[in-house]
Amino acid sequence: MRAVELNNISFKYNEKAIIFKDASFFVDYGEVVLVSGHSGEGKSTLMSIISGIIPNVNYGEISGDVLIQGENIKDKKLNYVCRKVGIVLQNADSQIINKYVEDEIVFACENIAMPQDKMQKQINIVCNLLKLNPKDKTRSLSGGQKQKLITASTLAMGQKILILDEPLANLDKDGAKKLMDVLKSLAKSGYAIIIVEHRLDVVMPYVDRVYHVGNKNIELIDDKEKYLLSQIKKVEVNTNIVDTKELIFRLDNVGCKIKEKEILKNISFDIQKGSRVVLLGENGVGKTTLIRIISRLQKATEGKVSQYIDEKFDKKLYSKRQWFKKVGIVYQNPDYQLFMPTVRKEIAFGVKDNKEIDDILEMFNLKEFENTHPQSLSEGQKRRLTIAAVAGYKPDVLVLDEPTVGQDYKVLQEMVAILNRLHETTKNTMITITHDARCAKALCDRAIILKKNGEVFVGGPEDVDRYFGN
Amino acid sequence: MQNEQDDITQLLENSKGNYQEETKAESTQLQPRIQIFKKFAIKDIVFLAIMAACMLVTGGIMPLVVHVPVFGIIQLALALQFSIFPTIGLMKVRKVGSVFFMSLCCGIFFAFMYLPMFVCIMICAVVTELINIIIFRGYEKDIAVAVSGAIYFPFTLPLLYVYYNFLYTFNGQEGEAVNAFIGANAGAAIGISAAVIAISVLGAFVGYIVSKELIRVGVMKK
Amino acid sequence: MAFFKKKEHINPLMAMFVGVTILIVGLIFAKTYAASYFLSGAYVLLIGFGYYKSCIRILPAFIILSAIFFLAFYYGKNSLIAGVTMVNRLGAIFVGLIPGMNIEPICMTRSLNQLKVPRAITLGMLITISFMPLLREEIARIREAMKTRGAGNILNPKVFYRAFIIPFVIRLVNISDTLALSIETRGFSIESNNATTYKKETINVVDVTLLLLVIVGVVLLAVFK
Repeated sequence: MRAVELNNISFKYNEKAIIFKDASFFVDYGEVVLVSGHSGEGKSTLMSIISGIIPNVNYGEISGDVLIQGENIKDKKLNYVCRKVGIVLQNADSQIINKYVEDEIVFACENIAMPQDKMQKQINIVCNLLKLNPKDKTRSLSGGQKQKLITASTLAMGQKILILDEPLANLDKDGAKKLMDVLKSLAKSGYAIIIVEHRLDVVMPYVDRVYHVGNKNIELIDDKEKYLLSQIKKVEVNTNIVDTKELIFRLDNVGCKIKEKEILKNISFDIQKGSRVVLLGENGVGKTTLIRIISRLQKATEGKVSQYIDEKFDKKLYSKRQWFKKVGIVYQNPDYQLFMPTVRKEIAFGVKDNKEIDDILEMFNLKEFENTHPQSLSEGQKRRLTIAAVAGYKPDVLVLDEPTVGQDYKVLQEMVAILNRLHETTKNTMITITHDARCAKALCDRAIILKKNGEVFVGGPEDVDRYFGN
Repeated sequence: MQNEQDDITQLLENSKGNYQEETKAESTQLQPRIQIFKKFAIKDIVFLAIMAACMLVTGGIMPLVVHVPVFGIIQLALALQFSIFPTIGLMKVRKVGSVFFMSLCCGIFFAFMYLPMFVCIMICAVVTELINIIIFRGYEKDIAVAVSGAIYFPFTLPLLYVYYNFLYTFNGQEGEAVNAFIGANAGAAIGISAAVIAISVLGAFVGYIVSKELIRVGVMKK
Repeated sequence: MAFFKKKEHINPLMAMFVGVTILIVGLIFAKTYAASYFLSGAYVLLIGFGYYKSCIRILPAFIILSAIFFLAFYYGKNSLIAGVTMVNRLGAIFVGLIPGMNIEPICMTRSLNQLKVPRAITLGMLITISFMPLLREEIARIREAMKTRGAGNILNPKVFYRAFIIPFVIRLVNISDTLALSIETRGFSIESNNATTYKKETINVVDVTLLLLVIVGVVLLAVFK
């Protein structure tokens, strides 16, 4: 009996959004299966169909057979399906409702009426397995630990089919390897594991089979290696490397503590005016904190950041509004920075001249959407719009936090080209945080690598390759 | 590695049990019993609870103003958030009982800050729901949502007036509520009450406009 | 015997009852000097019953506010009892708040579940209280994002409202959708009544003693007011 079997599945949200047409898919017990594919092509839909979220919570028109442990789950309640298939969703932070780790783990067990004595055992087992302390407070956990907590909570329910949506999103290399080891061990013990993940280079050694979702189909990949190479293709580097001596920022022994926790310590380096800097490092080394300090969203608790944009910003009382016009910041999540009713108005918020607005719309390939509501755009378009809106101020420095996260190759290529074109036209200084091996080099004149022990390595584009292990 | 394998073996062992079979498969189609009263889904409860959390977060100022002897000062401090968030909640969850549920979720914590306010909020929620049922027979119409969002909080004004009277009457100093909280200058109390109503209407309007926009672009689904 | 068994905290419902009793009685008798003794006694009692951390935590705010209100009413009405009344009212609120501050939301949820309160309601309450820190973070992040877009000026309410409310509601909707899905896929059901409880909330000798002592205090206050 197969763990999961989808036979001739067709699914559409509406007439315009047809996701699958006669697609088939299966997973056996004892294997780890990777589901890969571009954003918006149907990976999440596939997960939702297997876990019963479709048609119970999200609606659409579905036909074909969905068999879980040999049983057709058509017309079955989610409450029934979830006892057979566990699903670990993304954004763990939004899913935690309890103060302590053990209570969060046991929440799912209570729901399925697990006897009290078994619950205690489950807590101990899953905490051992995923290296969690049951007495820890959930809000004090890091992003990676929170993701592990939600995984533990699902695992404690005892289903033998597990779906994990981007489980490595907040984990560093070590953490990712450890989690994959656990998942592989679970599979060896008879579990069926289905993973949706963008970090193919990390997961590929652990997976038994790979499916590619796209073109309304679910295709079984024969050659894993070839597929991996095709998916991690790098964006070509075709920009002149800037090497000036003029500085825009100097960091002297910068340190930062938050509630006694040391985030950064003795960080010193320079940023040259007009250069493109890529900030690299594992999760949790303090990259975001560092760019927050540079862009004055947060204060350093030690050391000094000198700016050479304008002397007026060295005064105690300076205009924050003027500062943020000179230092443009683009958040990872565009939802925080978009608020106007149309794309054009979003850009017009910072730019008054109509000709300039048109130029920006053209440059960011947003002209055709100028009267569209920003929230109606795709994720990639929203990111472009946020950058366009911030770039409208013509900032001397553009700070980008993971501008390409979760984007497929085509969108990524477009984004990199736009950023580099913007850089060449405006001669801005561009500071980018990224984990994306595909584009880091293409956005880099200088690489700054933060290490866990607090060391900082400053190098060139060639060090980007070295960092990503090529 | 051996430990890991042991843990997994234990997990498999401990996960066995009849409790997993207790829920029987049923049809996914849930029909409302009566047109006015519809069943709440988990997503409704979660959204309303988050709206209540917003009201609670922004209502934290209450313990600091409850004893400022100006009639309506509590309502003045809370009117905006207590009209915006209930309206947004109702725009998404258009079910009778939504206002009551939001009030209960945040009210229970208000009970620790200022018990009379909890009682007032709960009574107001019931009154708002009743008015809605009588006039609009549910929250399907936008106007029903906007009106409910606007009238919900100002109802606490007369209730709090009754409470002040009760408290002081109990102390044997009848009529002091008027002196203490409305004071010699009754005009101020009337002015503040009018301001509370105006802010509530504005809040409901803002909540309605924002929700309408987000429903139109598909971010917020009814 | 379970009644005499040591446990980590006062029963949540008992704690809530004690808090509310102190609040109501304190407010009702606020105009008497005896209320000051009652509230002081309750404060000491709560320290003794393990609430010392919260007792210390509320002290600075209570002292500052009491001083302000006492002086304002003492000099404003030229009456000592007017000042004391205000201090008593604030005292009733602050002391009444102490037991509630210490209730873990999950313990309260489990107590209510044991009383067969519908799980939809207890889940709603749990989410409301658990998401307050997350919402505060979200508000701070949006305020920050507003500054980066040059929309942080509260003097321009039209822009301020859009730049704050729109991203905030979008975040709320996203958080709510993810959480609802997560809860549902972790087996929560509104209709099902057969959920179990990991740690049962019991009433023991300490809970009953605290309640009795508070009742004695109330009786003494009523007699000697």
